Amino acid sequence: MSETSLKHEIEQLLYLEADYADDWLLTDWLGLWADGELLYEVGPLDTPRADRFSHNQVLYLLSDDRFRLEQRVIRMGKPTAHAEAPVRSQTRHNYTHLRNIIVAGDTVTFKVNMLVTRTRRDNEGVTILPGYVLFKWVRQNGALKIQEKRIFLDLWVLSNPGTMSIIL
Amino acid sequence: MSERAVVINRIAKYESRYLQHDPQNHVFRVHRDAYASPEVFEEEKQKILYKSWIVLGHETEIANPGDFVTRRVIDRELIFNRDSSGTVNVFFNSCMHRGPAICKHKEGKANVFVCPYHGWVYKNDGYLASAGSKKADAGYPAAYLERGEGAVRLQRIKNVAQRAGFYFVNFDDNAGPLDDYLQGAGARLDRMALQTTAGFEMIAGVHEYDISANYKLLCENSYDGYHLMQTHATYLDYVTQILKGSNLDPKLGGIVMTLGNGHGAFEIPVLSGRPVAQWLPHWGEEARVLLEEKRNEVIGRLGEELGANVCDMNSNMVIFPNSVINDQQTILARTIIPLSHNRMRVRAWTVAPKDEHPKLREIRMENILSFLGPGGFATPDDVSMLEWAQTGYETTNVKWNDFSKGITPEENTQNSTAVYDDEMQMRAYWLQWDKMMSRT
Repeated sequence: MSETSLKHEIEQLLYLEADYADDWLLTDWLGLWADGELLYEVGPLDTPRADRFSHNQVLYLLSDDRFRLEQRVIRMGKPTAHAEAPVRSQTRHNYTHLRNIIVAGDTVTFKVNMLVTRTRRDNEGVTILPGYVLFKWVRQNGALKIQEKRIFLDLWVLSNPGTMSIIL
Repeated sequence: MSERAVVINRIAKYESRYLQHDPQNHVFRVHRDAYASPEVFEEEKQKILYKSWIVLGHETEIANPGDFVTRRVIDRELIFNRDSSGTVNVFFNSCMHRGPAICKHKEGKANVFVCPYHGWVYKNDGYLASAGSKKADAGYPAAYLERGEGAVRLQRIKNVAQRAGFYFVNFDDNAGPLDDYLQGAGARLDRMALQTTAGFEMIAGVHEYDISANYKLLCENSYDGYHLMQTHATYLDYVTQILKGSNLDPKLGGIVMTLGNGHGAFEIPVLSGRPVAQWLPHWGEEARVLLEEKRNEVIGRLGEELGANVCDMNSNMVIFPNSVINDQQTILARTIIPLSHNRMRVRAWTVAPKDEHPKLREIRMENILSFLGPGGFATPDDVSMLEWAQTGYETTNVKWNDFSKGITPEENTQNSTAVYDDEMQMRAYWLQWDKMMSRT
């Protein structure tokens, strides 16, 4: 596969992933993930070059394996997930600067900048969550699937609201 | 304020600006101005926050000479360090010349602090070493740079003390000793320290997040057993999932306790396993063996009763007025910075036994994130409740919050216990708060 067509394939999947998250189609979003073990995490704030450290060394904001990610999706779908119910945050994911694409066998890793806006009816203004993502995808039955999504935010403090109850 | 004795041995009815305390009629209410009035917030800063012992940090942050951290407590910017002679200091982070912060780093090791403005240099014991150059030094009295009476020194907070590794400050120079202030809360800190004989270390990283609510709402929430079932329904569902296949069947239960001086805690069974020392099936066989060893060690050292208590019980404690120390999936301190009457910044950090096995540390880290913090399965729902409560105070004319659950005419809120979903610990908090606010 040429680099251009791989890049195109990655972009299409990124846009789909962003849409599912923004539309709160959480089961569909979970369906984009690979079979087997996975890692979905948001790194620590205010830690320089945080991606050098694992969630066993530094207090991450969140770090989900398959079980916890599935449970997160189940939880967020319930009307008793008060942080996002009855009115959910409206998010908008923007991915840019796709780079460092490395193919090794069935896996593809890359880095992409991320800007998520979050709007809430009970909060004035729009919260901007800037950062980058280290993705690891794997080809299973011909299709690229997400195996790791490690997010690192350019924030010191989580604010307005101070919760990470959205899918980032 | 009016006070009258109703029946001997019963607590008299009492009313103040902020409280309706009527035990005979089973009523305890707090006026919502206590949460929603900017004027009350200014008053409580002077009468309570600047006159109380407040958690600053942990001894492991400044383990070695030269170690420092910068930190905000209430609305004061501080440097907390261990100087080259080993003495622990807390300084205001402001140059004695013209005021800028002399340290802009979050943490580190330093023999000196240099003001970026004119270059005044302070040794790490706070004494001025230079005004920037020999030429500049010559423009000042020689005494400025000597250690006598005329010395210039960073302004040091007089009242700094520690208990079980937790460092506290009190901005009131006339404050009494920390241990007197803590009363029963001190013994609860000592109990946490029993988890290991090796001492504790701080885990890197902090959860720092803002909540648009009065700081006292998070204190109340932190040891409120009553809200667990309703607010955390989704977390309790998750717990059911993680306990599948185990013979563990923990039930919400336990006690709340008051600890004197407005401090209080709840103690409820661990629901989610923890590295000291309760195993869950999905952690696997290696963890089971390690946790059994850890449990045997704790119980062998402390005896069956105390040992089991240390291993099996969560204890969330509020040290009046704004320090929360939770002993649950980990030992988690929430130091709360009240930013205004309706906004707070939470700084949550955790310590763990120094000698913890790497596998158990892994479990600790996982376990923290499933429940606690802004990305966990529980804290975000708490945050929503607190913000919605604050909104209720600011957008309606309803005047009073109700804390009557479980109140009896004979209730002694000083050092007693009640069922876990009672509100006695909050009544103790508010009685202390009101007592301090009533001082002229």
